[in-house]
Amino acid sequence: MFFNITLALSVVIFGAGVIWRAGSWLKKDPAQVPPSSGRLKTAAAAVFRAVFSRRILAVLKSFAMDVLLQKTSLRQSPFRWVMHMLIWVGFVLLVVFHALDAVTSKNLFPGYYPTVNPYWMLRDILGGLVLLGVLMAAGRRLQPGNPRLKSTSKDWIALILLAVIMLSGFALAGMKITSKQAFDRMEREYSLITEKKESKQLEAFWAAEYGLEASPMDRPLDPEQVEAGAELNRLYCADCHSRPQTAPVSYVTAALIGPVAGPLDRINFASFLWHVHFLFVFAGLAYLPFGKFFHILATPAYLLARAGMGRADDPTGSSVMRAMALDACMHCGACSEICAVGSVHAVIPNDLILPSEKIALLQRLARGQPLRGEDLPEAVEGMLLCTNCSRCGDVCPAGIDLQKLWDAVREGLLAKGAADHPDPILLSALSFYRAGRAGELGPAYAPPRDRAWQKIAALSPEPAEDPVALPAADNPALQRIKSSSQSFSLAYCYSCRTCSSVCPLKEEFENPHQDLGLLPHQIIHAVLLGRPDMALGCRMLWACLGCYQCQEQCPQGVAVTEVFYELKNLALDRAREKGRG
Amino acid sequence: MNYAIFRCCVTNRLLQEYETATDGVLTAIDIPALDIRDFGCCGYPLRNVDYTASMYSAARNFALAERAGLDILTVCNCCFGSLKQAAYSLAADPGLAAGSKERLEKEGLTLSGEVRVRHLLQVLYQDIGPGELSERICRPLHGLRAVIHYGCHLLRPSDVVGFDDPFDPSICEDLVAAVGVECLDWERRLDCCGAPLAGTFDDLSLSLSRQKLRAAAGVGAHCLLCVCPFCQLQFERARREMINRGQDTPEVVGFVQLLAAALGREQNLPVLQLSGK
Repeated sequence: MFFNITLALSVVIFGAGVIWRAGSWLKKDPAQVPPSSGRLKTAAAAVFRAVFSRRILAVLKSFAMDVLLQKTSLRQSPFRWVMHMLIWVGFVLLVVFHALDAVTSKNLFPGYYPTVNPYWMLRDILGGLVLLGVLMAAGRRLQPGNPRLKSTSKDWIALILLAVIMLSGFALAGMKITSKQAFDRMEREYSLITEKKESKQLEAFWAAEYGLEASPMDRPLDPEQVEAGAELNRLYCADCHSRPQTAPVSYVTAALIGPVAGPLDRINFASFLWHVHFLFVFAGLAYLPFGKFFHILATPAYLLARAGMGRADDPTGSSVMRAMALDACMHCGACSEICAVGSVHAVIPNDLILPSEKIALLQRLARGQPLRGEDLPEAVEGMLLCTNCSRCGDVCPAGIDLQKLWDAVREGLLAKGAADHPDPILLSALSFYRAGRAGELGPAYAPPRDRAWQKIAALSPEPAEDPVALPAADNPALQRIKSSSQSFSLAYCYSCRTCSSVCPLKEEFENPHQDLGLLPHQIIHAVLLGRPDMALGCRMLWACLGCYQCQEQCPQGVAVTEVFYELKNLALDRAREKGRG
Repeated sequence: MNYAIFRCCVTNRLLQEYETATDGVLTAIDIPALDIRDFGCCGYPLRNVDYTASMYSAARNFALAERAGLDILTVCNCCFGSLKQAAYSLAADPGLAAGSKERLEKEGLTLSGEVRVRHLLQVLYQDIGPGELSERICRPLHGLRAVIHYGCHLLRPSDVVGFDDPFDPSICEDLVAAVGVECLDWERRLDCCGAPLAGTFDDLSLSLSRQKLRAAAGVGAHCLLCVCPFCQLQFERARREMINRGQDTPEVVGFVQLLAAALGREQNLPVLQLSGK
């Protein structure tokens, strides 16, 4: 009764959860594009097109290669592939042939008993494989030397649930091997023994050979009794109960229980373990749509949908795919391991630099939760610190084209969220990729860039201020420039202006002074005069190509370009302080 | 094997043909190179953002190459310049080196500073030599007239990168001549392509590229040769724009692609049709 009620409850929660999660694919979009109305129709039409056309071949191929074989993981990391295969294959087979044996194994295999081989042994081995996979996964997440692999509570809940299910299963099987109660029940049900003498003989045999540790019989056992018991075992038991030694993990568990088997059996500990086992299985089932386990359904669905979509670039379809992608991500961290700027995370401690952690941000955006306070600048910084090499998507086992996802979300964030928080990181070579998308972005392209320029320009004092005011002796900006190993050389400047005369930008402007604010030599002078702040917002600094002509030709060996880089770093820090202050 | 090949981030998505050509050339000249999948950004695009982060990104690549016992072979000027700068700074700045080593330790990596950074052109010029190279050419590209765009970070700052004379280099010309291509003298040979300002100061960025393409067209070049994918993508972008405006512009070709063709590794380069005419 209790069993049936909890089962029914968990099935209902599971079903409702799956409908809710899959339903959200039609409603949300991390790019904050207002979801269009025809999403269900578009999705249904796409499924229809994929199933009833030659695309179905691509879908089937993807099912074999991506869903079953998981070739992307195999190519990237054999360790991760073995780990996942152990859990995945082991668990699926256990669910089908063990958890659902009343409908599967009993009908498929004549003579099936859970305690007879090969079924018992296979079940034991499968459970062992899953447990090994779980151990590998936990070890991977705990092992030092991989600072970019972040583990969330969802990752641990999934692993702990699996571990508890497997361990309680083994403990239950081991407990039953040792249990006198279980022995008595089986004897009643399956043997025709009525005499007490024969019953003792069988028990002696099981105590000697089958690990019946809870038997109160005196040790050492009488060899004659054991031998007689062996005959009875062959007669009544052997057909549906194999030697427990053939189930290695359970038998080892039984041996461990051995010393306390008697007392545990008297309090019917097996029944407790049985409750733990099925309750955790049901908890896992009910939890499936809400945690990491949802990828069991969402990832294959995404992979197959991707294969079915082909290269079609329909905006509504892409929007649905983006929503699906967020659920297809299983937070394995493969993307963050290969991320080209992932190492920057060690210097700039913003988790949103890491692709695997960006997904959590995207889930937030998809739910329509606004970003407040620190969150917004951090999100923008995380989205901008990216070389757009797209290797994250190349290694994603879920086949998510992460680069496309970043493209869409970054622009959404720049357009709306970051209007008040433009990040001058946009004024770096990281924007080379974005420039290539200018045509595609149309009128949305220029405003974020221009706002970043405005933010930078605001760093320099108004020209009305007295530019020759003496600097404060403890000017931190000046200290920083002078103590930098890159820029200390500016002290050698003897004002020859070679830097300005060889700068290629000079010829690009009719009136360089007016258009660029300060010329290179003036930037150097501003710093020497103790006023680096005058340089921080000047156009010249940010229009610098970094071509090193000035530095190469400086007769005094001033590292002019390096001084500029240092000033730009300083300006960025200032701009961020202002943004957050 | 002596080298780990250091591919540029921009080629993975935007210029796959550059990677294919690189592989073709390395095979043809018998320089095997290992692809280290963990290699990250060279640090170049992070220079504006954060010096320490930029240098650490480079330092981590050194540590990875060191673990494999290999030197780094680059095919991009920005990667070359940035890695060279990082090697220079790590040697000159003990604070930077100590901080980097501490961070690397957390990843189980070490940094001794013995990894060399070399550009593919250095290997071609110094180890193989133009004479030997021309003997390996199976499809000389006679009749093709090219101008060479060196790119800033291959030459400057010369005390850091140490590639060639920063005011009058000749390595590229010698190598290109070995392929059978005629090198034309032109005005803007050593100027910047404009790529660093793409996305930042777009008008200026494209104007610089256009001026170079126009100058190249002015001396009658069939193609402008780049030794850096960053430059190449920038010129291609400017070129498309010029074609739309009906302006005269040469083709933009990666030197590594041209070399791959001359070594019989690439057949589909449009500019090849001009060869032999």
